[in-house]
Amino acid sequence: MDTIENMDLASVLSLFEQSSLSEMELSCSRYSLKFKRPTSEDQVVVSTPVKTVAKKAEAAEPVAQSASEDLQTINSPIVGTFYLTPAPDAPPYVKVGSQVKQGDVVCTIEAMKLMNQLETEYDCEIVEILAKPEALVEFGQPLFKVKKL
Amino acid sequence: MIKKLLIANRGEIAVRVIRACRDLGIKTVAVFSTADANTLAVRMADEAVCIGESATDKSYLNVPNIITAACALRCDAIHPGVGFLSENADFAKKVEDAGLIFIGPKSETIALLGNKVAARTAALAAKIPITPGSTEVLKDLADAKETAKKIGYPVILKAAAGGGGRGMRIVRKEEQLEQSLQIAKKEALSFFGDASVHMERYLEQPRHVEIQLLADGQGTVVHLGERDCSVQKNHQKLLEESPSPILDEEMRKAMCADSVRLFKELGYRSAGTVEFLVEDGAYYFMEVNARLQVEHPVSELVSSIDLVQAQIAIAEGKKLNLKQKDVPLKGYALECRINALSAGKITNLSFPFGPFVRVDSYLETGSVLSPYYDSMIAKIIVWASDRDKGLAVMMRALEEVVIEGIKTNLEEQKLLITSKQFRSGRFGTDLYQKVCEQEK
Repeated sequence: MDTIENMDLASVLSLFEQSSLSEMELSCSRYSLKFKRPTSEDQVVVSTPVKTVAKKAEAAEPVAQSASEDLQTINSPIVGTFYLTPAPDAPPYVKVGSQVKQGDVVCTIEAMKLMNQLETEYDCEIVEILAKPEALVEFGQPLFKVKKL
Repeated sequence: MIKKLLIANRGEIAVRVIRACRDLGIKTVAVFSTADANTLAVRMADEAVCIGESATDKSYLNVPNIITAACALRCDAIHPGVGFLSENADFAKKVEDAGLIFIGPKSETIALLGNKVAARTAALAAKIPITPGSTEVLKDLADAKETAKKIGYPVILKAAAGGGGRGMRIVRKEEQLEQSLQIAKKEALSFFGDASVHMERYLEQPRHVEIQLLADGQGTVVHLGERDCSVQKNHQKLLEESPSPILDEEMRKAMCADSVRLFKELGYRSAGTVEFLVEDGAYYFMEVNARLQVEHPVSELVSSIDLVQAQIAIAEGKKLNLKQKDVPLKGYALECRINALSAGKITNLSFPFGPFVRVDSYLETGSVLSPYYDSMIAKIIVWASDRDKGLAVMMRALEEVVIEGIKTNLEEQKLLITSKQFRSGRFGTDLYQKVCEQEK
């Protein structure tokens, strides 16, 4: 069996293409690679060993309006750590498919040791959770994709 | 050891700090407003976090968002740059309370020097000449009248908590005093949240000369000579040079010695500047800028010391392994600020190259100059063995500058540098009006 070091880029790429993965990251002493399957906007990303994160450009972009009119995003009003649950062992505030009323809490964003509970401004259904739990979210970053009810 | 540093600023100064970090092998985190997502500092930093909307109080002054970003991304330190939160004692304290290193003076020092009256008292205690005037806040109109009589008109009323040319009123006659005092107090309250006002003698034609210092907070203070910042427009500096063409050796020595003594008595840490007014062969303490300054490259070029790197080393607790004799000041440096007179897209931008020219900027062809922030496009700094040669190098550099799409002060700056008055070195803070406004 080949070690990763000895494989050429073409064979790594074909492995990825044959797999069902949507994203793959590899790093070894010789190189590091990141593959991502193209979505509607994205291209395949092959990152060089030096560049670490490619996240910074995309996060700051103004929130794209969804194709469907009643699909919206709930964006982070502050910089902080994103939590879906009020406590580590508690059930999440919402799941995909949850229907929430205006004023319901959908997540917690921790900033400067304060737990800020984010409330929805309108009745909606959670379509997708976009932010990664326990990761840093920045100002304006989309957290949830929702359908207005 | 600082391994990762967050820059709580934008524009050219953010780029300047990132460059120092790269020289030192320190990773950087840029923070940015929605208007700045596509700027050079964001691209140059190792990581970047959006901290708010365009308006500065929502982003670059948003303390919780900035500190949260620094903590979440495991930074060791925050550099505040210049402006924004750089002289905010409360911010410095919060940074320290969050377990991070604040690159700058101790928060107590910033708080003390932020109050003009307290700063004057500190200068007086260090036996530094201050402009004649009150050493305490004015109590009432009678107190103001008596003080004015003692020091002689014209006088200037200044907000104790003020700065940046705001909350100041010149009074030429006693009849104007009552009304001016009321307005000055009202302005002081609305700008700085503190109505206290003090009074100083108003100097009509002073030179603005400042001493750059570096202190490790462990007993060592050195100066990097002076910068003459007398060419101003509405209290905003346009050209800065070192050495000053009007200081003789004796006065330079006295001003530098006074400044070093003041910083020693304050137990000051980091880079800082003591500002003086000079008129008729005498100098007067004005204030301390407890931070890095926009014009710091002028002193870097004559001293060969990187001030930002020095700030970082001092913040790490390192001692300044320097004596004054290890800071030889060599040659002449001049900085020219290129400012925009209108916002918009820069359709073509090209900066000068060549011997002894340094350009600090963050803009490029296609950049959009945002109306939300400072209008400075670039700082062009040159070095030469003497002043005449330096002016020639600066003119050569300015001739190479191309900026299209927005209006700038480039032509005015050329006019100033080639003017007889500037060349002679003998002029006051009204040079801009004399040269540029007469031209129109």
